[in-house]
Amino acid sequence: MLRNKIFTDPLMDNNPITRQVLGICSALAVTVKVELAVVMTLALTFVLTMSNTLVSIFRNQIPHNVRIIVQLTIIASLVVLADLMLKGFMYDVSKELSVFVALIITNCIVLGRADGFAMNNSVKDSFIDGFANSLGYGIILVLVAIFREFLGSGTIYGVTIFPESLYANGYIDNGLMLLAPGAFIVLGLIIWVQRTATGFVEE
Amino acid sequence: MLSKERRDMLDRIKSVQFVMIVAFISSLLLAFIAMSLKPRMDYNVILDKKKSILKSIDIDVVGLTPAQLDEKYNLHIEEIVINQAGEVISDILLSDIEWVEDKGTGTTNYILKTSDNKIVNEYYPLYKTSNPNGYIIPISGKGLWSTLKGYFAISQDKNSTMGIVFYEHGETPGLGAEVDKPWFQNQFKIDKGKKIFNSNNDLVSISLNKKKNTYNKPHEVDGITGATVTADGVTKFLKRDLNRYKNFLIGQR
Repeated sequence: MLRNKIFTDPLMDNNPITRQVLGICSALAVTVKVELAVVMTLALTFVLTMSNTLVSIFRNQIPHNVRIIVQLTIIASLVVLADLMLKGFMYDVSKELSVFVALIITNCIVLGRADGFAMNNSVKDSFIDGFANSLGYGIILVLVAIFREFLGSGTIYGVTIFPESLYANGYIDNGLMLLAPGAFIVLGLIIWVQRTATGFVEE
Repeated sequence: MLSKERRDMLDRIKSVQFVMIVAFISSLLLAFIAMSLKPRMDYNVILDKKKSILKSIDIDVVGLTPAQLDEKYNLHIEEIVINQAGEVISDILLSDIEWVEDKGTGTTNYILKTSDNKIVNEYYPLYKTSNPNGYIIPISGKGLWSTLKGYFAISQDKNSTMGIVFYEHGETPGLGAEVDKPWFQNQFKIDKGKKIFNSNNDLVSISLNKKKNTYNKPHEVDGITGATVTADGVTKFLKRDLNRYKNFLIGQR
């Protein structure tokens, strides 16, 4: 596979969220605010890129019959590491992300890329693949978060968008956007738009 | 040439060895990092509590550096310890008391660390503030999904509420998590005239009312639509925790 394609595929044509529909749990949970989505993306980028690289480095040493266990150990260690770092250096954000950083362990994208790609490809390709998939995940996450924060709280990245007078005249933030169903609706619309644009049909 | 069984056996041993090595290295690495970050994390937790205490008496803490926050805290807050009878005990420090959460009820049990027989719930932490004059009481208890932990500020008359703040909870966003919102917390501000004692000097606390029109009722505030369990929980544990300080609140008024 061409290097370029390894990088661009997960961004659009093979996006982990909109195309493979993986990692939905966190996409719903941490997209209330753009800031949370960004930090979550950074955490996942770290875990996914590192796990892909490490698994690829040891791909010839890892015994085939216990490969999932070994991959999970590597992923789990990286996730705990990311969680500790957040608690140490970004305490407020880590409080809001709560369990969802720890739940990266169960994010299907990470194990999927480790077993599906990194086990059979060179270290360089695996690194690019891990990074690109994180980016594909992050783009959708931030996009959903922008819609939800804007419609649900009237802010984007904590910056108030609507003037105070709008609220005084009876405008009310859409509370549905703060709940998980709001994320489902936004995500569904994004998938719809993307599939219309690319002409992809599920078979 | 080895027999097939023997080869399989060697393969298996190799697999186990490999997994053990991976597990050992990763646990060693994580243990080391967790240890070296521990002081930082503990400091963050303490800082976060200080922030909430300042917030409960309406002091702006947005954008403060840790050092500025510490300075502001030391300026406004005096940590004191009282006993069950409501007397201020000056030879016990707040840091001598260990906070242990009862997982069943969410209540915090205060254990005196320095005593040999670990005295439970005889001494309570209290925060005295000079500007505005008043006291801050730690509160905690169960909501719907989680334990809510926070601070309840009361004016120097030991009767009028000054504020409420939660620094830890896992309630539903948009529903129970509304306890974090200004519209809810503002109801406890001093200008709203809420009182915890009634005219007979009974501790009635503040209850979260489902029906609205609470503005002229001194012992009620608006509850949260769709979060009855959270609201009832707050009502319950607020009264329970205030009761521990009853002797202090009633005395020398």
